[in-house]
Amino acid sequence: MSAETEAAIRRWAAAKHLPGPALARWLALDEAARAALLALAQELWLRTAQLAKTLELLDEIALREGRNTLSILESETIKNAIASGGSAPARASRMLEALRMLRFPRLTRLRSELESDLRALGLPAGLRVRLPRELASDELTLELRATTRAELEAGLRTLQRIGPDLARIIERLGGDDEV
Amino acid sequence: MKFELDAILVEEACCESALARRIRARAGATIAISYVDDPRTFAFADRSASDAFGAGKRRLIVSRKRGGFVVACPAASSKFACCGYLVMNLASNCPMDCSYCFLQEHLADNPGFQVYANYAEAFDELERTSRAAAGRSLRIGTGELADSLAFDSLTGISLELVEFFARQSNLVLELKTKTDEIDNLMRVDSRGRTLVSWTLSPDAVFRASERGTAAPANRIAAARRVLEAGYRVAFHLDPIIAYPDAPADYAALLEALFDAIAPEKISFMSLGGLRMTPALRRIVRRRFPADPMMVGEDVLSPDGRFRAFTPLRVGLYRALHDRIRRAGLAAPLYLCMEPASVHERVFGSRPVSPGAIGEGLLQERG
Repeated sequence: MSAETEAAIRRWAAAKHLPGPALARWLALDEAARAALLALAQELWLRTAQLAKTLELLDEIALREGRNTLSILESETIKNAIASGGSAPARASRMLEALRMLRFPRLTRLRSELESDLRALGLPAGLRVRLPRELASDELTLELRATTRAELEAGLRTLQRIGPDLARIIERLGGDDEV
Repeated sequence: MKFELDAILVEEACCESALARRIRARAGATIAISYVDDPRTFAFADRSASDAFGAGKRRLIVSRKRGGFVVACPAASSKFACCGYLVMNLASNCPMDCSYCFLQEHLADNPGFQVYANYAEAFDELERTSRAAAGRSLRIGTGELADSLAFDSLTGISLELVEFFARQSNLVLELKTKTDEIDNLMRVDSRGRTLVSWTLSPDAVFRASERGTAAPANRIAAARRVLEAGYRVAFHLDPIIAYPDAPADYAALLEALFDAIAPEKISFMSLGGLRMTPALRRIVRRRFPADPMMVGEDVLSPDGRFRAFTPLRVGLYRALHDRIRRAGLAAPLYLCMEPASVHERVFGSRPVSPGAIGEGLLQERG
């Protein structure tokens, strides 16, 4: 069983040109986990980079949480992402997003709350507010697009109206809440 | 000597130096000592070793430093609110092995543990620096490319350093350490011109990431002893690692610190979050794959370093700042390698100029 699984993994890796370190990481998993990952790679048609990223995230989650890899792959979060319907590539993307949620739980939670706050502002089409990528800074980006004076004035009025809400968001970006 | 060496190499031109003689006398018979014409090549990374950096740490090289000793802090940048620190490099690399140490990248090609036999030449440089800075006080540290005290039982350099600075009017020496190697310090009178600073971490970080260092409780106990002996003391919470239990663990660490040392006796404190360049992060993952502290919620910051995402990091700074001030620390508290906007979020104001921060750190307290 072990030899068969290893051979199948090596075939998959060769076909996809998986880099040596990623293959070594895969083969270092215990038998059940490496087989589960192979099944996942085949079912979701994982691309090379996706498989390498999956291995990296699995390693890091296992280390952070003191869990074994198989228990992560069999967690409700991952199973739900895989079973969520749609095409194999779409499910692969959702599976990776679920892994990132497990890897960055506080970041994911806060970003989700802030995005929800932004959606609740009901911004008009000409006005965009962007959070910093991965909340890696405390900078909020505002973009106002206008082609007429009326659009400009409407955008500025909206900005004035939502000013206090944006101030609250920027305070949260600056560590105002306990994360 | 509390660390392991595989070999000692001495540059032939330095073999009769006071430093080489002391090291020979204290190293013990079990460590082979070799004499070489030019030791610099022995400091290069041994690419055949599975851990070239770790191997370099165990190869002590006594040599003559070819360049100057005193330089501006290498972490200084126009991007950050800096403290105007000057660095005196008397050694390169460190016998301890912390997972997050920037030397793993900085000295990757040159990891030999070098100690400079001609360190007394640094005193001439310092006197010139002192004259050039007339009217201003300068803080000069030896703990940038090496721990200031980790090898002091072997080299005894701290004795001469403390005595030299005791004679200066506008220079203060900062010895930065994670050890409790203070025996030599207890033998000399610093006349208040030497400040000993400890980098402190919670026990969880110490156990996971700080190999070869003294336990945090022992560092605090050592700080109390040197304070009683007339030294000034300071503390760096750096790197602060934002793991899930960090708020409680850092609060407990501060409580232990202030229980042992009254806040008004502390000259300054600094805070700095864990930061790693992508290259350092790769090295750390390779050398310490099982350290859970090195897989935090770190993201690539605008300055090109991985740091805990901003709200998490700044929230932790603010909580620590609040706790430190409530404990009664009136001395300066600054952030290391953070932009002015983070400084403002934590302290409520933009930072003053680097020189002014440095001057503030040198005011007499307690």
